[in-house]
Amino acid sequence: MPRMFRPSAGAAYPATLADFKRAKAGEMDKVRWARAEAGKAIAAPYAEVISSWLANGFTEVGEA
Amino acid sequence: MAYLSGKDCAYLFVDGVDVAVSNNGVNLSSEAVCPKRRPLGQASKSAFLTGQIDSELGITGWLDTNTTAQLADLTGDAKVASVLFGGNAVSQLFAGFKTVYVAGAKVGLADDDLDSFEPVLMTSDCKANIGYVAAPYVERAAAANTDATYATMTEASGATGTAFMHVAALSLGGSTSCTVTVRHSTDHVTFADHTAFANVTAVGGQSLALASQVNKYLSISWAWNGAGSDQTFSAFVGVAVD
Repeated sequence: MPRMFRPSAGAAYPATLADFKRAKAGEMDKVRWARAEAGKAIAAPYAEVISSWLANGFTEVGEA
Repeated sequence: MAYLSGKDCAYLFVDGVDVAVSNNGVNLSSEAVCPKRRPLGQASKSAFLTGQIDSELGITGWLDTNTTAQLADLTGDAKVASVLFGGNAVSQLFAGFKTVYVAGAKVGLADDDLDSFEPVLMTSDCKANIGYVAAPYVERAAAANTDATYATMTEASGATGTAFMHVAALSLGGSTSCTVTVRHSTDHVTFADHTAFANVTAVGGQSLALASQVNKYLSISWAWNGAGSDQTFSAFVGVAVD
């Protein structure tokens, strides 16, 4: 069961793991962004982004 | 007394009007005790000129008739001013003044082609917010955007801040206004909204209190309100942590 998270207002995050790695490397102009829909709980598209979500206002709401 | 100076000043915005294009000099003097903090990714500490500090701002020179008209519009009510003395790029230092008054004397001959304008800039509280450029002054056109530009901030935790925005050109294209939002991130991976400026409908400047934690990385987003097409705006946004 995937862990579900409620996004922070206006949240945007790297769309894929490859984009995540580009962001971590500071290559911001190469990153494709995904925008979270306000109030709608979502699952992480890749596990590496979870810690970043939690550090930037996402709240975990349980499992799907 | 610290004295900040550089070879050039990228922009000096007074309520969205760039007066740096035609004046001869900008003087920015700041008196501050600089706390030493460790910038992200650096092992050693350095002095950060951030926060609200005692400052003076002045401009010198004789402005031509093209600028006279602009400055004439600026005299009177309190304005917001920003000095991009570090350059027009993310992470460069700037100074923001929440309350500036512009005065001046029109001198020279009556002929409009020959007269000139000697400006005087006065700050009412002599306080400047020294911060970082979050979004350089460029034209922005996307219908709605999550801009990925970012700036390194101090590691101060629990800090509040002040954001400054100057819109020098705006084409609403049928929309009623534009909403510009300051965004931030702890790790420049996930960005979230912090606070939005008042909706923009015309050229002008704004200062914005950021009443909660400002994280280390900044970006802006914008959205057009109401239907429209081919909207553009040219703006600068900078953020100073307190």
